Amino acid sequence: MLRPIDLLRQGKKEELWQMCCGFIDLSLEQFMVIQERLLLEQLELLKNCEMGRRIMCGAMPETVEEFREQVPLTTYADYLPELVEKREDVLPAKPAMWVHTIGRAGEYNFKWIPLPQRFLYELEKVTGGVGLLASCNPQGNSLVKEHLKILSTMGSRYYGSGVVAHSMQQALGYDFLPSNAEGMAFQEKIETGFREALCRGLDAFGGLPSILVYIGEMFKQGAINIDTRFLLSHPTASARLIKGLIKSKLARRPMLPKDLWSIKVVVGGGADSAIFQKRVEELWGKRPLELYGGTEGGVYATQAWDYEGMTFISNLNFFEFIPEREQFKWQLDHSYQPKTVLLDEVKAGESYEIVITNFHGGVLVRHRIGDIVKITSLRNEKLGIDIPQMTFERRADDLIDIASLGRLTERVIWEAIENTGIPYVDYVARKEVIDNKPVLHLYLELRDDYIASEGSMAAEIREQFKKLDGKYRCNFYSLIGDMETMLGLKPVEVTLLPQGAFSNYIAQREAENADLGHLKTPTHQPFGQDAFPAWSFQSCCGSCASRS
Amino acid sequence: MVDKLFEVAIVLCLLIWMLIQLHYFIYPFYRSARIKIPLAYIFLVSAIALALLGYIPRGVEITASGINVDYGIWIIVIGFLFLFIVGVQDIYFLLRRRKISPDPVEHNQISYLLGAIAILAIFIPSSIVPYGGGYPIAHIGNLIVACILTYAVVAHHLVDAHVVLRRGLKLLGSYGAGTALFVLLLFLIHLVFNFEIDRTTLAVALCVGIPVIAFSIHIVDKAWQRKIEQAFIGEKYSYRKQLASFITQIRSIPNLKQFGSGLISLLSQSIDCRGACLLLPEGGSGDFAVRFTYPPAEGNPMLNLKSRHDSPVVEWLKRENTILPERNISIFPEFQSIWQQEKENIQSAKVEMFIPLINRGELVAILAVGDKRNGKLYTVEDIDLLESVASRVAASMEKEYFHEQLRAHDKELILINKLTSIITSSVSIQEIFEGFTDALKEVIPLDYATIALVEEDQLHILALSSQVSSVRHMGERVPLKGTTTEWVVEHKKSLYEADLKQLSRFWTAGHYVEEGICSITHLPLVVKDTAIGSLIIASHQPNAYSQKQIRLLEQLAWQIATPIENSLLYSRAEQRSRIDELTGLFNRRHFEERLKDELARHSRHGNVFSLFLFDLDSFKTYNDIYGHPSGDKLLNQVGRIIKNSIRGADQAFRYGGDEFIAILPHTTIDDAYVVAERVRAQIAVEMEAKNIAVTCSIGLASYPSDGVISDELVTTADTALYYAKHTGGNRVYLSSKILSEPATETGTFARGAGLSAVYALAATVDAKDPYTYGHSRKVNTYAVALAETIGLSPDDVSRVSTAALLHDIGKIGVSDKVLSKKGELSPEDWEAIKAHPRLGANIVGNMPDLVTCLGGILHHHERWDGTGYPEGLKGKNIPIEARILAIADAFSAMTSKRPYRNALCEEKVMKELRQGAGTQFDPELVEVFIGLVEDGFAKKVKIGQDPPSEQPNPQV
Repeated sequence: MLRPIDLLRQGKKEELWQMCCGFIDLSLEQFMVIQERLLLEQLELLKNCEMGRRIMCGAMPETVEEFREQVPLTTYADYLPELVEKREDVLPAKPAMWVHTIGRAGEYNFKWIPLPQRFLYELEKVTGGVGLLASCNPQGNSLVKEHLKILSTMGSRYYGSGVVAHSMQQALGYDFLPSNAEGMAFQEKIETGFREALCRGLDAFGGLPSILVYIGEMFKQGAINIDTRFLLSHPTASARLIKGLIKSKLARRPMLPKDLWSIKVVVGGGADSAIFQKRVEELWGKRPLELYGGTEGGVYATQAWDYEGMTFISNLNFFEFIPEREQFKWQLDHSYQPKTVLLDEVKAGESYEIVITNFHGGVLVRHRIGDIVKITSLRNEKLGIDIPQMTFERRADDLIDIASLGRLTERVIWEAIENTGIPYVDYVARKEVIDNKPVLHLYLELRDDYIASEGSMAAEIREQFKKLDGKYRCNFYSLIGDMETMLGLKPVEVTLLPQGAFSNYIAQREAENADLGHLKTPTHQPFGQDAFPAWSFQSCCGSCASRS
Repeated sequence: MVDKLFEVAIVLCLLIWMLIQLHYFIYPFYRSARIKIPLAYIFLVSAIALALLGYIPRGVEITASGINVDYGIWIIVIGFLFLFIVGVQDIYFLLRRRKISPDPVEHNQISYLLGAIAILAIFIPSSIVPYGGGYPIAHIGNLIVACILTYAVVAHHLVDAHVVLRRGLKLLGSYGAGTALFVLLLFLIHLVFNFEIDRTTLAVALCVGIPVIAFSIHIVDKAWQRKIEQAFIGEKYSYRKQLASFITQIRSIPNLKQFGSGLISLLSQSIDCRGACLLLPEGGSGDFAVRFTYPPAEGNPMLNLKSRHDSPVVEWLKRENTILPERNISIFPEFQSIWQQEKENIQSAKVEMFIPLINRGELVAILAVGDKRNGKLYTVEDIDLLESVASRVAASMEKEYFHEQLRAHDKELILINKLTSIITSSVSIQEIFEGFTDALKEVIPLDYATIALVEEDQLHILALSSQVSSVRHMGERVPLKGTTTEWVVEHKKSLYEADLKQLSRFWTAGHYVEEGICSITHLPLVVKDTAIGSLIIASHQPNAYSQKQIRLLEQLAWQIATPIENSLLYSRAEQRSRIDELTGLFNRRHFEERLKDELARHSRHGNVFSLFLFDLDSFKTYNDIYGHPSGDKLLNQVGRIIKNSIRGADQAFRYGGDEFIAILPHTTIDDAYVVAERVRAQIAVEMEAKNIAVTCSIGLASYPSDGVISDELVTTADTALYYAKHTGGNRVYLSSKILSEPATETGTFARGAGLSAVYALAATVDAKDPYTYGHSRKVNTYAVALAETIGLSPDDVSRVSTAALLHDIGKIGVSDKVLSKKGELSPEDWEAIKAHPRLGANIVGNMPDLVTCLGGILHHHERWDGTGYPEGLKGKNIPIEARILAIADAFSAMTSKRPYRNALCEEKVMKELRQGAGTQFDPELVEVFIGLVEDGFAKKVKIGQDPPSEQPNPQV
């Protein structure tokens, strides 16, 4: 079986490009043909397995239309308990490996997803393509070669992001720095990686953009220890450091990673990527190529060398899109089956909840991964890509995601506030971007005459989040270290509301003849949710305060 | 000086010639059409002409520093014209081709050609400019170009080096030998004639010699070429010759089989590949399947190669009309849609490339070629050969394919017609199904076939043909839910399960696997857009059916659906014509047919059979009281009871009104009695359970002892029935018993006109008192039994029976309050009650047919000791029927529940009877009756049971 690395080694870069990045040359019609045909293959696999028959409710669709009519939309709970019990006998294809997400799935700690061998093979080509696109110069010429040195900042290969990194390494023959990161803590891994990079060079870099900034800031602030003995015993490293020092002195600023290395490939993705992209470029000298993916389906879309909208990947998942209006209907009545549209039916400028069906023996069928994407345009005019372009907009469910690091559910936030022991009447939690940084903003009305400062409240709630991480694995702070300081994040903001704010708001809503279900503003408001904007709540409170 | 001028002219002409050759070398990389007129040679001809005229070059000057050449304006003109007409065209088309080509190999090849052109474009003008001539710039340029092209040939297969070598050798050999011959001849002539070789003689020699050389080359060329080819290609050469001959004689090949197998064999050997196959479209679906392989061995992995009509490989070949290397399937993005199975098939078949056979824009066939025997890559010459053969045979292949399709279609039509005519040959599908499957077996593998029809929520196995012991059987009904037929009927689509052992989607699969079935196809039977069931065809072999066969079966199912439905409708109509709708039993007409058949059959084989005729007792009264709808309902229930009580081989019929008849084949009269008794008892039990005072009487007759013709048998059974009726009903009477008994005065029992009135009167009495439900009928049963036991004549028994039924008729005149009073009776009440025997006698006395019963009715309350009422008769002065009735009446009363007490147990009743013997009852009769009871008589007739107390009292 021909693999990207074979072509790279043979020097057949033209063929490598075709294999990995050829999808950007597909017409929309060709894209849809691939989607349809692979779906039909997947349906055959699903019909022949226990899980598939259960998920499809015994339906045996033979066309895309029948599939969309007869098969219900699913969430992870529909696959329980088989997936968390890793029941391979019920799956459409034998998995080559199981990966898991961070986050609870019903009664279970993780979402386990099986990845069949063929899916991994196809993923390898796709990630190879992402690597090639990330290495392109502005003219679109790829500069990739084997044994590029990449700093290992990703999770293990049993996480979705780890699989993508591992797959890219397999496709393009990257060398991870440090070469043996097994069992190392994050900080140690970074320091060892940096030392090796000083000696051997650094060509590529990938991960969550917030982490890329974090590492850059660590370096900038001297938090990465490189001792003198090491430099003395490694002249190459010393020379590189001297070169960096000269460059930084000439630029009259602290030394940055870009002074040491000329990075060819930077890949990043996740919530709030757009917020951190510029800082990554400032620190590392190259803008990260954004990709959109997940544990559930590998890579869904990627940017090209123009760093604009992302192009959908045709051969890993079948895409359906729930228009916002349909999604809203579903929010009002969860028994409603929202209608979906296909990629050739989406409209530019509109937002959709994305629904995926895995190809190549994957298990997820019409699965709502809980993301809202925006179709920015129906084609990329600049690069001549005929496939609709997208950007990640927000989560569709109740998760509040801060820089992809903290995934907070309504329950976690409630428990954190409760655990502070501070008496309160009610609160509203909302994701906001303040000073170009993602923030969880809590609007609290304290009970009676309890007096507390907003700052101390925020600090106390942050502490509670840290404690709750062990229980919920919301992963808000524990992953890599002091992200707050390094990134300058202040992830929790508290605004105290005047007494009677909530009751006044409800009275006002009653006066507006709002129905019972809409009297109170939702406690939990993920970013971008406009149905009950917090600002209206604030304005109401403001008016209440001024009247009093 | 002149010589130098001449040499320079030659060099310049050669340069132009080289550039023209380069153009023709590049041309095929951007245009596939062959060059018809080599117009570029105009430049060469012009250059030669100008050189001969002395315009190119204008002059040569030899100085101390070297040679200065005055090239003149014309060489610049020719150079620029060539550059703008030919060079720009080449560069433009190469760039365009490079841009649009999806093939990375071609992309790379063009890049190297463009590189070579760029080098020439730089170095050749540089060698002409002043100061450039002093250095070997042109040579350096040519050397670089040669290096580039050599690398392109080696690494990117720019040209086939073998072909170049072979053709080079051939040309060298031909022209070298010709030139050598010419030089030799010239030298010999020079020796002989001793003339001076100058320009004139040289020109003359050339004018004569060139045609001579050309002629000699023409003569030896083919032989020389053959030798070269044989030396280089070896045995492949002969195959290629055969292939060429095969293609020229293609029109004379009689059928597709010879065409395909011959072509694939010769082609494979010509290019020395390990294996090759030819895929042709399967009729209808458009999917491509392997038809011919080389080597044509069973184990050839190419046999499994298939390509769906929507496969990207098929689409690509159709669109691009060029060879598709297997490697590109892993590289080009549009092949992302290829299925894993398709990919695995291609890999396991070790296909190296696909070649399309296209005629008039349609993909006729696909040629799949495996790797070379020597493990090397295919040469450009091999590929040229494949392309050339593919383009030349496509039209003929299509024609032969269509011919074959037509023939196959004709055969299919004949087969379908044959099978349809079998199906329509009889209205009984079951009868002709074996013949149908036998005919079908001739064209497809078949070990199991069935027609399953949907009937509400059940699946009815209408017909079945199986080579194995089937768990299903004809006529069986199984739940429809979850069966494959349910899916097929719902979707109106056929469903083929290629290997049930590997995969089964429906619960029914387990049964088939148990029977050893592997492949099964379910085909919907659709009539007027409604699926009525499925035709199921199965085989023990996995993957037994091809798409073509399934399509044939689909057509067949479509054809036979209507005849099956018609047959079904006919069978239902026929069934209805034989069935009595009210009772669900067969009707009288069918009885007569069946009786004739049975008589014929049994007379032929000398066997016995029996029949029994039965009639419901008191049915008319029931009908009169409760109305005809209730009567109909009762008949329906009786029909069901009869159906459930007779044996599987027996048949029951409604004979008319409330009369039924049953035929019991191969059954003696004794065995028939058992069956008849079971029917009678079952009716009695079920009717009693429903508080319906209806029983049945049965008359039995047997062939041949009771008659040998139908009328005779029925009349005998009828007579026995009336004996049964006459002797109290609810009994089975044998025809032999009638004959053994002495004839009455009338010779036989005649049906009394007023008998039905008796039952009506008895029912009226019972209706007055809920606690005496069925009392008169019970008394009748006991009294008749006692009368028969003591040996009374049938007339007397009949009289006893009638008296028993009517013994309480006088209670009509007793107030309901008294009859249903729970407390102690007052003297007035007693007086009223004691009056009922006389009142009854008065009623009956007015009916001439019943006068004989008067004694029994009037005196049934007399006591043996003379203390009874109404007349205080004593001992044997009391009529025998009255004494019998007294015992039966007392027994019935004691074993029944009364408002003032529960029913007594049997022991207590016996004790009471014994105590009453000689005081209340005739002691002799008591002893006989006790004997009867002790023999279990009461239990056998299932009497003496009380109705539940909470039951209402619609008694008759």
